[in-house]
Parts: sequence; C-alpha cells; structure tokens
Amino acid sequence: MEKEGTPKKVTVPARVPSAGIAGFLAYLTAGSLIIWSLTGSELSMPQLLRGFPEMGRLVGEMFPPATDRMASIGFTLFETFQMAIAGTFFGVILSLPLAVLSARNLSPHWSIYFLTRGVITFCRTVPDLIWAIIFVITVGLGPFAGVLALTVDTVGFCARFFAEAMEEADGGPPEALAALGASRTDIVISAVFPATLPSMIATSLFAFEKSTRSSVVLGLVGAGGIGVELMTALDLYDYQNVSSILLCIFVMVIFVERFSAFLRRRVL
Amino acid sequence: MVQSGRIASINSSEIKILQANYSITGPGAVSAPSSSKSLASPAALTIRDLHKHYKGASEAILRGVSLSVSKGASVALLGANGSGKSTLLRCCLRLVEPNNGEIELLGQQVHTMRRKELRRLRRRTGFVFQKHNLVDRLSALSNVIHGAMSTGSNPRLWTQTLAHRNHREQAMECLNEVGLSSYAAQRADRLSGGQSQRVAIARTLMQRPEIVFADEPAASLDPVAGEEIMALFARLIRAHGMTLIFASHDLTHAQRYADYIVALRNGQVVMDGRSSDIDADQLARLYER
Repeated sequence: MEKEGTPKKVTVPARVPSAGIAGFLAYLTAGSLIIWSLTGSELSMPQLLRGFPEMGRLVGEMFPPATDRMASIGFTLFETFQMAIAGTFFGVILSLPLAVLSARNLSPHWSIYFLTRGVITFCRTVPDLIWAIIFVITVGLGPFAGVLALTVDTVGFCARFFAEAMEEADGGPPEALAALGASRTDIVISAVFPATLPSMIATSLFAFEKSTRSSVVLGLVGAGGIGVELMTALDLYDYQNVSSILLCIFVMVIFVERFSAFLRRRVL
Repeated sequence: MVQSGRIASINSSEIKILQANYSITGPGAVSAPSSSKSLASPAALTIRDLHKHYKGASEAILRGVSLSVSKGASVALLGANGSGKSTLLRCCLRLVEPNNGEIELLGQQVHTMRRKELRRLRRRTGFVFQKHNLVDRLSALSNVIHGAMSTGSNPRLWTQTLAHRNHREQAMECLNEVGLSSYAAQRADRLSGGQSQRVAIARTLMQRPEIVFADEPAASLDPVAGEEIMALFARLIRAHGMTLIFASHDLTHAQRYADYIVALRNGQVVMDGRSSDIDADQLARLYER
C-alpha cells in the first residue's frame, strides 16, 4: 500500500509489447518456414490456369447426376453411416481408460503416462487409410475392417482430447473425494467424468463427424461403405454416378454435422 | 495440566513470540505439544515442528508449527492471507505433502503412512472446503452420497441412481439436517453459494467423521449466509460429538464458534488460547502489515 503524499510515477505501457530477441527469432523462424514450404510445394499459377478447361470438361461430364444406381448407393450410404457409428462408439469406449492413464493429473505413474501418450500419438499419426489397408489385410475386405480402422482413428483423436479435458477439469471435487478417502477409480468416475462430460460429448460428436467423412474414403481400399461404389464408378469413368455419390455423401455429411452441432448446443 | 512449550502472547504494540510455560485445563484444550504423551484428554491431532516450502516460493509457508488439539475441541485457525492456515489444514491429511515435521492424527502417524493407510485414515476425517468442491453436474443427493465413500470403494456410490436404498435414505437425512431435503434432485451448479456449502456439510455428515477440518467454510458467502453456515456447522459438529478445526478470517466467527484460537503469522504459531481469553483487539493485530 502506498503512503499518502508519496508522489506516484505513472508509466503508460507500450501499445505493442516488445517481443524481445526470442520473440523476434520466433517470428523470423515462422516466416522462414512458410516461405520454405511454399517454394518446396512447386506452386504454379500457369499450370492451374491450364487445368481450368479440363476441370470444366470433367464437371460437364458429371451432370446431370445418374439415378439408376440410387438403391445400391442408398444401401452403401447406410452401411457407411453404420460403420461411422460403430467405429466412433468403440473408439470412444477405448479412449476413456486411455485418457485417464494419459492425463498428467490422473496417471498412476510417469511410465504409464508416457506409454499411453505414445500409443495415442501413434494411433493418430498413422492415417486412417493406412489403418484400413492394415485391417483389410488382417480381417479381409468389408465394413468390419472399416470399423476397426475408424475405431483406432477415433482413439487417436478422442483419447488425446479427453485427457486434456481431464487435465483442465476443476481439481476441487477430486480433492474433496480424495480427502474423504475415496479410491482413485471412485474419484475418476464420480468427480472427473461428470466434470468433463460436456467436453467429452462434444469431442465424441466431432469424432463422429470425422468418422463419417473418413468412412467414405475407407471404401477406396475395400474397407466397406460407399467408398467402394465411388471407386467402382471412378474406375468405369462413370462420372454421372460419381456426382450422384458425391451429392449423397454431401447430404449425409451435412446432416451429421448439423445434428452433431444441435446436440453439442444442447449439451454445452 | 501444565505444559512447557513455545507459545505466543501479545503486548500492546506488537505480536511477540515467547518461550514460556502455560497451562490449559479441561477437555478440548489446545496446546503446544508436550514431549510426554500423558495428555489429560486424548489428542485428536498433534503436530510437531511442521515445515512446508512450496517449490518456487521465496519463503516457507509453514515454519516449525507445533500444536495439539484434544478430542471434541473446536479450534479456529486465524491469520492473514499467506499465513499458512490452508496449507496447515491440508498437511494434516497430506493433501499437501509437508517437507518436515510430525503429524499424529487420531492416534496414527500421518507423516510416515503409505497411500493405502492414509486413505483409510482419511475416511475417519472430514474436510469442508471454501469453494464447496461439489461435483457440479451431479445432484445434491449424489454429492451427499459420495460422503459414504468413507466406508470403502463401491460403484453404487458413484451417483444416486446406482445407490443402495440405505445410502439414499441416510443422504436424505443428512440433507434434512442442513435444511435442504427439498433440493435433493437439484444439480449442484444450480444451488446458491450457501446451499452448496450446506450440501458440502451434509456430505461430511454422511461420512460420519471423528474430526472435521474446514478451510474458511464461510469465506465465499455473504455475511448473513456465512453466519448461518457457521452456526449450522458448529451446531452439527457439537451434536455429532466431532472435533473441529476451521480456518477463518472472521474474528467474530472464531470467538463465537471456537473453544480455542490458534493464530498464525508468517508460517508460525504466534498466539493460542481459549477464545474467551483473547479479545478482538489482539486478534485484529494479526492482520496489521
């Protein structure tokens, strides 16, 4: 507290705080990284302009969309939807224990923390298409391989965000239960899960949206769903059917995203 | 009973720590712990030379705190912000790990306990927090049922939906004791501050502890609600025959609801004694800078 009568020297802070040498180096590194990436990507405006007529021709061939295979497209679309739900469901279930073990404040031991973090990162690092190929080789062609691929992909996504939500959750209620002698399991289920439930539901819904989009692509390698139809149409240069399939996928993804957004609004 | 120890007294201008003999008789006494174990009334809590220094902090928060609390006593811990009250309470249950010193709680050596033993001991103690620490998204009833986790781990205690009929009925009785039986189904985050603290007290009652620690239980409430909570709290603690140690900034609460007062300053006990023997001016000086 200042004594009365003491002259008070007021300093107005700078409008833009000085970043310092470390900040300047960080900006410089980020800028250099972007320029380096642009030069390495072989960007070419003439090539893009030359490609426009070709794109116009392709789009022309896609219209009007064909309707003769709508029954088959509809069936595989439902299969895709089922794969997305099943893959997300199993992924979310598996993510819960992994998230607890990989949350810094809940993990029983640092070695378990690093191990589970590694597993989650690995699940996320390998692309879903590669997982699909692995499971097609392992369990054969069909939606089961797709569900397994989506499960692993969902684990990589959900377990990480679940763990972060658990780390950021208010530590008060767990401390209260710890103070009355509750076990670690009791604390996680009674205090941490309820606190992180809205965040976990939102993440699960995002994972479901992601799985819906992924499940389309998985069919390209034989892991079931509408991707198989799309691959067949592309192989046969049947662009009118390709456009029908893309429109159906678009409608499904829009429906899933809107529904998921509605649920998130209700939960949060 | 006469004990020798490091105690504090207050003169007209400043708080001084003195080395002296003093005597407190009768049950529920607070005292500097004797090296001898022959206490007139069995001690619920004995702390000897407790030190705590948080990582990165420039100074230790607790510097050789020693005190002893007899069973059935009601003790107020007073002191300015940063004097170490909350840390001291948390150290008693090792919610914060002390760096040095001995803690004997309900006849057991807390400082040497393994995790499992500590969990068993914690089941015999209650802790009421300043910010209630209820699980927001669960009902008041579920939060109170959590108190029964002191009887052991049981999945049926995770929420009231799963709970055994006996636990539900006991929890309703506890809610009734704090006057909130009609709010049993209300989500904790929709309760007022005073109601939340009542639910936290009901959770502690559900636990049936022998000793209750309370870290500024009325601090986050307005004066009227704070007064109501402290009165209710003190009444229930007495009715259930528990020992109470509460931290507070409110000198009136300390004098009204505690049998004994222990004052901390800069991590050390600077004053203790019967609340009736310490006047408000002496206490107010604790907060002078």
